[in-house]
Amino acid sequence: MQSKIIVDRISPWANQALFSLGLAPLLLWPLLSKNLHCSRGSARRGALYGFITGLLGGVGNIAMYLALARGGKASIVIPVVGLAPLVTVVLAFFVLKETLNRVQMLGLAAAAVSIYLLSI
Amino acid sequence: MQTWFMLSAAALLFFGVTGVTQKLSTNETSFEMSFVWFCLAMFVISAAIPLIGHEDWRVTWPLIALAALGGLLNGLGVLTSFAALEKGGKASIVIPIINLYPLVTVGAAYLFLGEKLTARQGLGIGFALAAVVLLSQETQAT
Repeated sequence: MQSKIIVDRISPWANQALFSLGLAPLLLWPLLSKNLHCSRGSARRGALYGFITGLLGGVGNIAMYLALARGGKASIVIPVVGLAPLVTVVLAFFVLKETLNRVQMLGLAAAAVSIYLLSI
Repeated sequence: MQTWFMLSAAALLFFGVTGVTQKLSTNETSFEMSFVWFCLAMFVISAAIPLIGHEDWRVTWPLIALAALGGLLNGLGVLTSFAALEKGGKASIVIPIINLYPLVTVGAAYLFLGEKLTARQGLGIGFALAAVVLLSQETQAT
């Protein structure tokens, strides 16, 4: 809801830029942690995936702010964006070889119905 | 299909993929290092925004503080999710649990923003919330 309040007053692009300001103080925690350089595999690959996460997160933020700025209601946009686990669960099944139980499959079906109802 | 819905769907896709890239990252390195690189990418995007001419910097200090607060709270969520994934949490469980936040947003938007919904939209949101709750369920080992 904070996003909706802000995008009514500043551009989605400025919102993303200012959003990053809030991340800066949080960097103190990991940078001061003695576990920072602990790695279980390729530190370089871990860094790359972390960086990709940030890029996708940033672009996703901008898309969400633009959706709110282009007339989307917070009460609809946020639940739609909140369906991101739909993508995660499916990708985790194929990429990470994580298993899906029957309840989660029911969740996938509910997500599909939701997207249909909200898109028409 | 309306533009705002297409943009929401794009955000859904991007955020959905991050659930897996987060897990892939913590499979290789510490959650602390993953978070540092996550922040660096966010800074790169933010630095690029003025360069591509998409900026209007006429903002007030309260708005700057509110937007930064959003980043701080969201960043805490990202940091803790990296930690949960590093400690062995499955992406297919951790990410759905984190995405239960729309439960709060829908109620708050009705109460504080005065947003009204059609019956179909209400049903769609009901299915969305149910979906996230169902997706977050992990079968208990017996």
